[in-house]
Amino acid sequence: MKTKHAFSAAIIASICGLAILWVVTINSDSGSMKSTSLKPAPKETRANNSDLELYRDEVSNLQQEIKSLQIQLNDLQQVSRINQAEKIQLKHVNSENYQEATTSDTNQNVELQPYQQKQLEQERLTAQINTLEQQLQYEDPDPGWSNWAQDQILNNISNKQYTGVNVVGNECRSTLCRFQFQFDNAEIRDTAVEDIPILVPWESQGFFHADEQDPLNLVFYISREGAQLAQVE
Amino acid sequence: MKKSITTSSVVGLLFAFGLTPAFAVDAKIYAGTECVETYTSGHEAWYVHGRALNTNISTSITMECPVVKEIVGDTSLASAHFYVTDLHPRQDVSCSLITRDGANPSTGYYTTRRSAGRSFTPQKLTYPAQRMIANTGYTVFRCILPPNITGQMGYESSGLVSYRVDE
Repeated sequence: MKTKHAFSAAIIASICGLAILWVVTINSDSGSMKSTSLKPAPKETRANNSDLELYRDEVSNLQQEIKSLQIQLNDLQQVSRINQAEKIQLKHVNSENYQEATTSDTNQNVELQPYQQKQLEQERLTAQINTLEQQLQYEDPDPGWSNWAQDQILNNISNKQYTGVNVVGNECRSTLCRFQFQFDNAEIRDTAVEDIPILVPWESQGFFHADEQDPLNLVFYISREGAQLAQVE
Repeated sequence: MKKSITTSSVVGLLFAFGLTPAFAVDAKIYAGTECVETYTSGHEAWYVHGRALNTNISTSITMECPVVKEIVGDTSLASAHFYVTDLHPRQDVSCSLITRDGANPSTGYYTTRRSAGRSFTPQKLTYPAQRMIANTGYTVFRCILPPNITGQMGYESSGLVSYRVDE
């Protein structure tokens, strides 16, 4: 009888032990489920934050670009204003009627006196010559082009068999040539002036002028193909 | 994306501040028959259908084409172009736009343009803006027409079709 009771108590005790174990297991499972269901939320927040940071960077970059464009625009406007002012100043330089002319000059349509006009033209001519002479001075000869270009022009002039036309100087740099001619008389000079441009065997731009002291001495500046001749305003 | 935003911003700003291209105020178009042969050429040009042609079989001719400058007091030409036909297999048609000062014709500027190979279709020679030192002067086109080496009258001759100058 005693043995039977002891056996029953052992069975009851083991059932209780199993029940406790089951309860503990369930609790631990539900705890782990809770923690996994909460995990995605912080991930999403982190992703949103990084996107926002990127957008912030983009906006700040664009703001900086706008600022730099505004600065560039201000510079351009400044240059434009300076050019405008210089143009007006040039028109009236050394003019006795400067005040009068300035007040009547509303849209640059100033009626200059003949001597003022002459002076302006002389200044423009000097500026043009200086610009091209400086360009020649600063440029180096191009070994692959300079000699060839000189020879081509000289040959074409020689083939024309002009009388009264002498080439007294010639040089070509990397983008510009300078030819100097001496003519026997003004008639030959005036005809040759229009012939010389078409004797250049490439597409070119040029400027020519006669020497003030010796009007029969003419200088031609000839640009290389693809190079634009510097023209003063 | 960033680049396109920058480009469109620059273009927008330029247009907004009035940096738009200037349009010519005075344009004149001339027929090729306006051109005359220079006395140094020694051959006669042939004029047909508004064009000036070189029918000579062996010699190039030099043609001079007048330009009427109407706006006095301005020291530049805005632009110009010349239509030419080049039918020579090797030589080009070349035209120089020459601007000379009125008081001092030994001073001036020029731009030369050349045709690009043989073609029955007229070729357009384009000239950029050209300045003058003085505000009075004259402008002329001077062109060289290569010979008609086939000898077929008119059909194979290089010629000057028309030209236009914008002040």
